[in-house]
Amino acid sequence: MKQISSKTKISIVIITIIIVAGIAMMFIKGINKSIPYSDHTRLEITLNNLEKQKVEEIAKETLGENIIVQTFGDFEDKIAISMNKLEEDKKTQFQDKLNELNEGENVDITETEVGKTKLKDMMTPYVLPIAIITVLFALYKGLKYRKDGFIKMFLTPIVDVVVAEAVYISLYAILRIPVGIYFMPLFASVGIITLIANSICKSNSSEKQEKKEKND
Amino acid sequence: MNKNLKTIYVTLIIVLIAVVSFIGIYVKEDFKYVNKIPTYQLTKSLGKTIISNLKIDETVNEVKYDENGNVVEDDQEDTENTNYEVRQEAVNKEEIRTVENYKIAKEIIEKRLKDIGLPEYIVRLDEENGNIQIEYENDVNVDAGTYYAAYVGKAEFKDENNNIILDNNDIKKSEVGYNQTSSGSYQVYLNLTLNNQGQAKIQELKNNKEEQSENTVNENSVDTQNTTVAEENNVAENETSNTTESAETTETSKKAISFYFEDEEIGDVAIDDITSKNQIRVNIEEESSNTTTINNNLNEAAVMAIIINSGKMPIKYQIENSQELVTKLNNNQINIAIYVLIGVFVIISLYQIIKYKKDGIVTVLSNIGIISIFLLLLRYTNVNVGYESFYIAFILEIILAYIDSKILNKIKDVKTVEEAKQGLSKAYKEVIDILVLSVLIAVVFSFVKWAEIASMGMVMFWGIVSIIFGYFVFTRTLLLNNRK
Repeated sequence: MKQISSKTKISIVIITIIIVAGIAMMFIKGINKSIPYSDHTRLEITLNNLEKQKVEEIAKETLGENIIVQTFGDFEDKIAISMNKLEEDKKTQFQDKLNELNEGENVDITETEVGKTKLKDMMTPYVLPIAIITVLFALYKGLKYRKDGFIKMFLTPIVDVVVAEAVYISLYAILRIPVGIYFMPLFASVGIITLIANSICKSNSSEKQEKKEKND
Repeated sequence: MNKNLKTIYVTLIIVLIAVVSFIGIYVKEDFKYVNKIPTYQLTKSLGKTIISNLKIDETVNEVKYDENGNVVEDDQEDTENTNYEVRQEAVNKEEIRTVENYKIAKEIIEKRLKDIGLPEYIVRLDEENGNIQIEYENDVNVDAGTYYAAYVGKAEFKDENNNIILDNNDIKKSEVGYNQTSSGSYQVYLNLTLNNQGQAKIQELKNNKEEQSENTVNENSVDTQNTTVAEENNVAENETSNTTESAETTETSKKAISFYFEDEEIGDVAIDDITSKNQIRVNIEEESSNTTTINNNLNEAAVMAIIINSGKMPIKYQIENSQELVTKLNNNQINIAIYVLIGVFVIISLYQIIKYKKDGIVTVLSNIGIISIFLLLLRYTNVNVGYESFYIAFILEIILAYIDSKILNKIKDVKTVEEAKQGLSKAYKEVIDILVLSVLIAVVFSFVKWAEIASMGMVMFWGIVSIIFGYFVFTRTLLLNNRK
């Protein structure tokens, strides 16, 4: 049986620790989602004569820094402020300051509770295409390099991608990186880069093999 | 052609393409200069998104019941009768407001959005209060997704006594069709395929109708005989009687059931016209030869088909509001992504120039040509570009750097053109795996309906096309020209 180098052993141990820790974290605390993807409150305000920048400043002052401000409306004359949890006293503070900015007149604020986006819903569109690419590429490699063993050549890219994606998700869970709009395209990119790396490694090892055979 | 001249020509072409791609072609139009190169098409991550909020309908209706506990409709109400019991009934009763029903509603909405072909959407559910938020790219009519989501999807067939004969539970599938009538007009229809339960109900209806028809015909026959015996010379009277009775028989056999969608009557279907065992055809509006009318009828039928196929919502929702949001990413974030890509390209280029000297310089020049062609192709082929495209652009840079390194390593110490060609052939064989992988990614991703993924696929496709084209036209020519 081929001896596993110490470097490979260390890598396997580290990867295993990361994945186990990631799974544990997901069970204990779950995934940390960014505001648009978690249960959050949305306040909608029609700007009218109010300046967007000043409203944003008041929002950050009273509601906290952890908010997202987006513009909408046909004339981009409305803003939506999203935040994780809205406390009543903070909302009152915000309302009062807005009214003050509006020269004493009441500013109409619409409040909506928005549900979370499930991780499953985010991942579903991406998982199947990546799985198809991985299996097809694995099949191609298995057939092309069947001299080195079809099963080994077929399974290697699949295992590589599965491990890489598991490490990626685990790192998100362990480091509590907020899951947002970048999460899934990065997930796809990790899979693609893993397959590229797998292809490069195989190409380099074939080249070394050829050189060795030539020298022999 | 002289090698140096060839090199100059290729270099000039690269510079020209780069200028067009990065700067553009400006033409004076109406006192201002306009760039003739098309702009980038943006996906929702860089453009606009629709956010619609749906809330559970809290309407409470006053419903009148008569002494027998039957509901009294407005048109049936006897104004002189004051014995009606009036009850306040919520459109959505407490017992149906369960988390399970909220989840079913969410799944039905997702199915509808998928069936209408929305390229990308997110449906969020607040399990505490049942509120649903839909987010989708503003590539379609502003409220298209919301419009479909708010329907309950109630489909029923009722008889003349308003009894429900068939409902959603009896319908397996719904399809739209149209046919040309003898007058040359087009009739749009909804074809409803029934499940076993529905088929059994239709069969029972037909059997009942036949029994009734037989009874009516027998009664008429007896009447006719009696008339003939009683008034033997009165032929005209008999004929009149027979004609009247025939008419009655015909009328009885023309029994129909009415199709209701969202409690609105759509059309009648004569029981005799239900010839298929498991399908009922309902005409939508009148036949028409006007193209606009036909299209409107088709759209109306298509909406019904999609809604019926997705299932009946257990809860009625109402649209609270629907807004168009402007870009998720700000200019800073887009600029950072662009700077990162440029930075990676500069680092790789510097490495190539330092390590491979003259060959490195021509390779960098070729790469600029490849990137210029790539950016032009993205614009001219209307590929939707979003932040996800930056990831693919980064991956394409890695692929390009890898291919360059393979090529440059193979011809590093080679002096002659022949040896260089052999070296390049070896390099092709070594990079074929990566090219196969890139083509796989491009093809699989491009066929996915999800807009972000399809965009990644198209960007990858044009990237690989640019690399292959650029390699054969620029890189290979310049590298071979560097040799004797």
